[in-house]
Amino acid sequence: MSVAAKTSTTRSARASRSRLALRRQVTFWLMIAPAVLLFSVIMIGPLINMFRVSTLDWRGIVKPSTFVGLKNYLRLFQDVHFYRALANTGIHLAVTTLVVLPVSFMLGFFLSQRPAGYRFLRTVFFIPGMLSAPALAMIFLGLYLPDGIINHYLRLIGLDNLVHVWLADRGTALGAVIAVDLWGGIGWYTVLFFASLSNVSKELYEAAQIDGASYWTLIWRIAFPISIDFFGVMVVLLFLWVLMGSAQNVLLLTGGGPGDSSLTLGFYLYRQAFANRFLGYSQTIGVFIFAVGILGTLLVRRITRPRFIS
Amino acid sequence: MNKTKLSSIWIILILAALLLGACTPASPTANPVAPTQPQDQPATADTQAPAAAPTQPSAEQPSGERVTLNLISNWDAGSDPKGKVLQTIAQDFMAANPDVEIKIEIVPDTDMATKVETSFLAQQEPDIILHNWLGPSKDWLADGVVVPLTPYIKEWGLEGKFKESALSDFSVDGELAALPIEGFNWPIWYNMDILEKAGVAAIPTTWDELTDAAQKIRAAGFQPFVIGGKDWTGGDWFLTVITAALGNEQAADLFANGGFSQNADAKAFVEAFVKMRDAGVFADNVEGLEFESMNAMFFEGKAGMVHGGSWSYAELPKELDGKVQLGGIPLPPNAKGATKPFWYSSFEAKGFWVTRNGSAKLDTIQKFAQFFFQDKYMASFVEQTAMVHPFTNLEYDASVLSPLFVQSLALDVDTVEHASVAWAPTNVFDAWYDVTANAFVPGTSAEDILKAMDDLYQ
Amino acid sequence: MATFLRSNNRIFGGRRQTSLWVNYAVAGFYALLILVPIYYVFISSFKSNQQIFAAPLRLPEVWDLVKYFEAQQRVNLLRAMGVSFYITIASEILTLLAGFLAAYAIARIPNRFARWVETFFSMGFLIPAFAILVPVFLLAARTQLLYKPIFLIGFYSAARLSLTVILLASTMREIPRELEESAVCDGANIFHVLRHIIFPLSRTGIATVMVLNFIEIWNEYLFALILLNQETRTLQLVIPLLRAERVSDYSIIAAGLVIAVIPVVLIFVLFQERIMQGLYSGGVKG
Repeated sequence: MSVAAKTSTTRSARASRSRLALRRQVTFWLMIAPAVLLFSVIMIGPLINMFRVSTLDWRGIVKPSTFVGLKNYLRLFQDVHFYRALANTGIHLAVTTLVVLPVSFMLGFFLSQRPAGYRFLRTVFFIPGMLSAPALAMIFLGLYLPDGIINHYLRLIGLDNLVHVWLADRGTALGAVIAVDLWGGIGWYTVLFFASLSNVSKELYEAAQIDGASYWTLIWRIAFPISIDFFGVMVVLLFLWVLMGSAQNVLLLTGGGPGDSSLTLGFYLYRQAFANRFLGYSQTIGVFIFAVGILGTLLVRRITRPRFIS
Repeated sequence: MNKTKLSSIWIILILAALLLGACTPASPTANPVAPTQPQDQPATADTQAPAAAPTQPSAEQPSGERVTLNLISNWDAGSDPKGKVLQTIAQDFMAANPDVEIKIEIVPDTDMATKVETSFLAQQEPDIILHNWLGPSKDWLADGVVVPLTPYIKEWGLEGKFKESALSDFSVDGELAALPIEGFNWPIWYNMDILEKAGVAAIPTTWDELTDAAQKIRAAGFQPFVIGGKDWTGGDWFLTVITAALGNEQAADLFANGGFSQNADAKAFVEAFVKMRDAGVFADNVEGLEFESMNAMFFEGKAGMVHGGSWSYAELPKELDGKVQLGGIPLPPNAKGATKPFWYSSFEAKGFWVTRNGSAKLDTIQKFAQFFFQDKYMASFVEQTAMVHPFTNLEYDASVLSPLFVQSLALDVDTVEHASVAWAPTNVFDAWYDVTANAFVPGTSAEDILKAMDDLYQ
Repeated sequence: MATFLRSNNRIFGGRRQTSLWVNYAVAGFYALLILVPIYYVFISSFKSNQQIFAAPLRLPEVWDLVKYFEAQQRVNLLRAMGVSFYITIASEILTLLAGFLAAYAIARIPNRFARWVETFFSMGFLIPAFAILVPVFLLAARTQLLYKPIFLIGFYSAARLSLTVILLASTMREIPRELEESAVCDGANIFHVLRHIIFPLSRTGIATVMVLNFIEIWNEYLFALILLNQETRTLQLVIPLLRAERVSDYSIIAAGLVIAVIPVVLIFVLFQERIMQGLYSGGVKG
């Protein structure tokens, strides 16, 4: 195109390009508007409110509240129960992460090789994720009660000395709650890893095998490095799931007891809000959990991926 | 309009949405309805009712138009015989009063307080609540959720109908918070077959005798005293006994303010409890048992004693017919609040509460209350559900009653309070059950227990 | 099996296929750990309380559906199920509409704020549910929408938007730009692009998101309890009512649970393949 022709079309071209660009911007904002508005009002708004309520002394939903500034936070850091809950949650997170992720990754790898019956296994593994809290409660109570299934069969095969009062023994209560998460978590994450690892091309494995790689090497030296980003996302999801979701299981199984041996941060929040009815204080715990969530997420993402967001 | 300006407008809109979501009132003081005024004059119903008037348009309709009464309860007609009686009452009432509709909402007991209070906050609470006198509900009168019914007993012609003790169970500072409906008693059930086999001559009346009996029962191959250490069954037993041990005055002070570790009687009691626990008086694994497993153990004839309430009398299996004798709870050492075996028995199990919304429909509620509390329906409750009734006198067909129930009505025992129901502040009430659950766990020392008790009052 | 072994035998070790058998053992053991409790709940719905406690894992003597009818009769399970369906599907539609549009905008429209918006939605994962229960309730009360299902539908949609937007955006990024660009060159407007290109090609991502959302919304209890009334009770709210005040018949509760989980299982089984595919494309990018 001649220079003259170029310059004569440039102005109109530029005008229409900027009109197009403007239209695109308007489109952008219009398209995100419904989701953003809905989300802001119903999720973010209450989140901000959580910060505000955490500064109140509010002892029951129908009672008046008084502003007390950071007093709840001071109380939190002097609260023995809080530290116990913190420790328990730490254990809960550590055990769950260290058990679920490696096991799921390996099982997911196995399934991604499409062995016979993989579809059946995949469906079975997904089942725990489909159960509601009452269903889980009924199942695990049936297992853990002193005359429940676990003890029933331990006695039957003569292992009487292993019989425990799982939910009321200080040594096993927390473990019993964690076991529920392990039970469901392994299956769920196996399915997710299966999906991700199915995308890895077989040639990579074949090439490594020619060099004499063992099964173990294939998983951890080939598949894992490729999936590290996805793995990082899974770590974050698991972390948040355990941190935020522990309350339901503790509520249904042990009520935090005996003593505080199975008290987790999530359940402590629930207990303060609904049993002790210290609504302001419960939101303080919520703020703390929120902060831990952010920090944990940032930390994991920094380790597994240099950029901030996907 | 350029890009930046457009973006800014959207950002402002988003911030506005955030503020809308965030700026919800944190307390009901933002609502036009204020909590009730302090009540120093009992008979001021006229000034009370208008002050607590609801703001939503469910005010009393002029006669001739249909009135709806909303009632909330946990008595489900599908699974609970009391629910069936309630349903009958509602249906009969509606048949007799075609211009009134009664809508019954069923909510599980554990969720009732949340439900009532959240709907109160939204000014949509039901008109009538059937609920117990426990924990959160004790504050409802002071918080304005319900209206006092003191003047209405007379106005509604119910004077003299209720026992004094029943009325005082639902009263606070001279004001009646609810009309009593359901009472209960809570003795110890003794399986006399087992006691005989174990060579226990008589029902134990003290802890020493109890410990002795327990050892004999164990030697005979049975579990001695079964209770749900993990839940309210163990907790309520513990809290009843401690009241008998401390006496009302001390118990009232300690349960309102704490200070158990410094109180000699409290210390002695907890130490005696730990001693008894460690001597094997309770069934094995008591710390893991709950209401259902406790009942299962006793009904299957595996345990010699259980602390069972009147709600379970009808559940006694045929195999144990005639073999169960009821008695009071054996006395702890140096008991200051009782002189013979005792129990916790009150009318706090269910009351008829009228809410702020309901106070606008008092004419209709009066009719319903008078209908509800007719002798024939109370007799139904007694006959069909082994309910201890709150009336001064009532005729019913005793032949259909479960034998245990009949036995219980004739028992000669002391009645004591339940310490945390009576005196513990609402915020602490639920937490007490964590303390008692912990107390039943082997290895928990007396100091641990006392410390946990005091911790509740920090 | 033999063909599989031959073609994969290198992966699972030499002639003895040790890794293969170890893997099958572990997977099989875990599968058993899952199936046994499920089996326990399922057969409990056909037994009596006594039988359940006495021999938890024995097969029922009679396959009697009486408990199912009793459960239905006690709390009107079918009506509650209908309500659950209504609320779940309405939430799904709302989530999809809002989420699909937002995801496309983030994934495909170049804008300085796109990254911020995506982060904004990922905040949803950080919000502790129990903590915002009270403020959400207050919001419902204040907007006069308390006990109206529409508020709960809005709440569920908002709560699921995080996952929906992020997963769909991820899926859409996989779609080759050329397809859109050629359509635009041919004069297509944005609706056309969305309907005929983006939507068909994100079907798997959409299926995944819809199934996951279905499960979460169907199973949710606490917010439904606070935000709904008697007339509009969901299935999860009526199941606890199967427990009587004092003595429970576990077999009826088991029957209720079985009924409650059937729709979820059906949906999963029907959409299995789609879900797996959706997880590949959405999953790898996270």
